[in-house]
Amino acid sequence: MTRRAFTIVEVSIALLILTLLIYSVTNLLMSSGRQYVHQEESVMCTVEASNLISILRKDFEQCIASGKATDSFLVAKSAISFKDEVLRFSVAGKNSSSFMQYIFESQNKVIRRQNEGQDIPLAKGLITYFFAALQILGDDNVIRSYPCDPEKETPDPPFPAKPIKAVRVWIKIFMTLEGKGTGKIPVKQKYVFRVFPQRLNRQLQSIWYVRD
Amino acid sequence: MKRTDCGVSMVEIMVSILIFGFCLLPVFELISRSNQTVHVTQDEIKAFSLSAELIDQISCMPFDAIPVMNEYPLKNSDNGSQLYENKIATKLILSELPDGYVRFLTIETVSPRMKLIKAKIEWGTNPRHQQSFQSILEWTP
Repeated sequence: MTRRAFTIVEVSIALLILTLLIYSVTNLLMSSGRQYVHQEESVMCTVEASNLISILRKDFEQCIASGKATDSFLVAKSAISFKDEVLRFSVAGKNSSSFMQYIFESQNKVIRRQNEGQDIPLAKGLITYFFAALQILGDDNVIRSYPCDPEKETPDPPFPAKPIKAVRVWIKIFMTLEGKGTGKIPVKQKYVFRVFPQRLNRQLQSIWYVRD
Repeated sequence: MKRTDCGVSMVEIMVSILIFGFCLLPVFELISRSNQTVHVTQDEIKAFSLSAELIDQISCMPFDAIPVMNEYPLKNSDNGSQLYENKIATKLILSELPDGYVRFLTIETVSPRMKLIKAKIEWGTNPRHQQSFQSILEWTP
């Protein structure tokens, strides 16, 4: 009977290979776990962003001017405002118009949508930046932003002496969503988009409304 | 009785590693697929946002100034141009398309007081993704 045991070299090589295999499998599992958390956060941010964009679009469809201004530029300017992290605009209700507010709370990373006593938190714990600028295209072919567009390097031209007619109005929104930070890979998604309030624009173009 | 207890040869170890490697391939595939799915979802949202922005913008233009066009490609350089010559109201405000994205605009007259606006966004290769969005615009006084 010939019995040959493993030599120390063979055992060492086998152990080395086994260690390498275990190391690579553990690494793979760990990285796939990290990827899973990252993807979960990414999907969460993406879904919340898409939800927020859809709600904003739907709300802005109902945006109307309710001020008593007589020229279209002032009418447009009075309909939507963004100040102190609050986006405010008037919307058509069942019987009368009311104000809709999107309040950005940077500390809680949330946007609160408030209208007629309703308070709905949106993108809870995910939104780290929210900025909106009302943009008006005048009949002088110039776009003016209120407040200034952060992407624009040059300031808006001065307002001419003669009244300007608002040709089109929209709101440019900048927002950043960040994951809750449970994974090692940070999730940060930036969105820049424009929302065109159809009713308000129709109102500005209407022969019955604009009196200038 | 003669028994031969010999160890595992290097070739056998290599073959077993190869088999093990093949077994891991579906795991890699699964990870990369889920990565692709997340990217496609993000791209779809981008495409939806771009097409909705275009449709809403056209819908805000004066009805009579909106020209009929068929699958007109709108590049980043078209930002600030006018759909209808010398009509400021048809000035296009376009968001920048990410690399590999293409945007098309179609406007059809359905009736004298109704227009159909279609925006199509295409992106990616192998497979080529596409998202269309359409809306009916009615004449208002």
